[in-house]
Amino acid sequence: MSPAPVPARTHGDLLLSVRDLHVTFPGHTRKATGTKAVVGVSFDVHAGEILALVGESGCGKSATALAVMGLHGPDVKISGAVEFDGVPMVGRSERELSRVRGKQLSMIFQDPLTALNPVITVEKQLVEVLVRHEQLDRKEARARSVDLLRQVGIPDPQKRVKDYPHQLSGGMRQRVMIAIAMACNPHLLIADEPTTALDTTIQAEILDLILELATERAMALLLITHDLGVVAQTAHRVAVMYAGRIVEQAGRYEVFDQPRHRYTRGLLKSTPTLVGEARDRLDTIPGSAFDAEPWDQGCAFAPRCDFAVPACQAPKLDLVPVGSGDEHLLRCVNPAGEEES
Amino acid sequence: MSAIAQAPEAAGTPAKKDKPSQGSFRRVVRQVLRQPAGIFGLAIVLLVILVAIFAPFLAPYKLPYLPGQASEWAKELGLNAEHVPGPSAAHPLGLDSYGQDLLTQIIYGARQTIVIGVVSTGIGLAIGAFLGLLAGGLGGKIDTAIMRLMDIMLSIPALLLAISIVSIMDRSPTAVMVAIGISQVPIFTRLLRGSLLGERRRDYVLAASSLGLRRPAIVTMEMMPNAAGPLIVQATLMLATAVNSVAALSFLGLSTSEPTAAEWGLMLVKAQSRLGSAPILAFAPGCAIAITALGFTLLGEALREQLDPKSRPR
Repeated sequence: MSPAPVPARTHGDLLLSVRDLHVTFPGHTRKATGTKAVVGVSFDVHAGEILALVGESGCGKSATALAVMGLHGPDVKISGAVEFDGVPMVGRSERELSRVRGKQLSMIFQDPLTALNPVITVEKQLVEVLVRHEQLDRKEARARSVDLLRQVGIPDPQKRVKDYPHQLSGGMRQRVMIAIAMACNPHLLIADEPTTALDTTIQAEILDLILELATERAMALLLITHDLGVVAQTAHRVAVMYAGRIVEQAGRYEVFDQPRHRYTRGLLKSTPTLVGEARDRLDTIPGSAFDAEPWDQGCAFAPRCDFAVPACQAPKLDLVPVGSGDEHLLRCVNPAGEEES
Repeated sequence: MSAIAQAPEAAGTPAKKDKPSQGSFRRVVRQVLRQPAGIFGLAIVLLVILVAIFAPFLAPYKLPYLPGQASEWAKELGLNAEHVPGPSAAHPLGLDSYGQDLLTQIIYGARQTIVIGVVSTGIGLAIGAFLGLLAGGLGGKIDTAIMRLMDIMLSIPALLLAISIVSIMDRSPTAVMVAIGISQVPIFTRLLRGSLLGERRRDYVLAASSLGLRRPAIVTMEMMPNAAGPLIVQATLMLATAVNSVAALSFLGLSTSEPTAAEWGLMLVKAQSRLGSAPILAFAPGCAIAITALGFTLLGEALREQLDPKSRPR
């Protein structure tokens, strides 16, 4: 598949460029073919920008993130190009990757309880990263870790820094994760479902904190989520993924106000709203995403799509610009009209 | 009791999950003391350790005897293989055929047993943990090489392996310690490798890599503390085995050539020929060995209940 055209942005330098990324997990039972988690994904993230990668479970969001970080195991096949700050990440040595990770490129995981080491104090986990990347001695690093905890809004940081993760509440743990990930002021932060494991009441708090810190430090953010509410609050641009491919990519307002892809439209319709008339039942998309596999030709969403036409089985279906500008990219032969809703 | 034990926890940990806090030594001790087996085991172990430390104050007579002194006494008292005096007021457990006080020997024997047991298990733990760390942390060819070597060692019965090692070295307590230690190595290696492999897929390892920490640092600083719990349990259990092995090697005459040495296994050998006339000579050191081994086993099992989540009832 030819790399999809992605327009350049003007308000920031190109930071991360992903081109035609494929991630294939080894098959457990089938001998030859593995599971294709990501199939030809291309996108850019510019300095200071917030890009949301949206899609349901298993659509390849996290596999994309791990590929960008170079964190997939050796048995996972990765092809395509990932360039961070102009340096290719795919095929780079583990030693070189480890210098970039945690320093210029950092990641927040979904569940802070499992992502924090249960038997090491918060302080030690922070100090390790600071010593590794900032060339601080342990004493300076300890002082800095208290500062960092204060910056992420943890009360009484001098005391909390000596705590083990299990002594903290869920929200506090995620704040600690954020402090660790941001310890070295990365240029790009990948947040993989950062609020999913948290109570609804603190989700907004954590999201606000991430946004605030990102804005403050002019940090770019690749936000991976299935929560459209989170996207609506935060993202500058949105890429909607389905079955390992980006099906629609546009600015936040375009995606929410004028979604063109049938899947995006279905996603938005199946989200509960507080405004407008109350509905008895939410709309759903019939079928399941796993029906789409294997997907080598045409549109993966076609089997579930009410508007599918024979052309949906076309051998090649690219992500192409639609509308007036080149900001809105779409992979659909029978898109929804601009006025239709 | 349970309310007291849980109160500090409830105050300090608003979001406690099922994972036991391995960082809290006091909590583990408290939990161990809530089980009858734990109390009993800890009591025995502490008793043996205290007896070993304060042996000179507890023993009614002095050790060591001067060379030849014991035989002199035996002649004076008219002792021989067929006749040894039984318990009396002056000698609560009686005398052996050299005229030495049996209780004194049992008390001093605790020293030998504890020192040899702890040192040999320490040797086994240190070498075993190091090899396990290499195998589980690095993987690949090093892992295969180490584990095949361990398989070879495990295919030889531990005691036989220990006997071979002592025979290669010389008959001395040092050789016994090294031999028992080495025969324990494969058990610790396999255990640590196994739990390190289990840790490898945990999220915190991925998170640590995402922060740019290097592999050796992740294995030693992050994974090791998580994997060490079962190792501590196993070490306590291996102390019981070591106590038995020390006795077995002494019984086979491999620990020392000094016939009057106060060592429980050696005392058993000497008692062998007098089993009919003076069974207490075998009974006393036999009990000492059994009780000490039992103490370490009970303590180890109680620790396992607390530190190894897999064996805990859910």
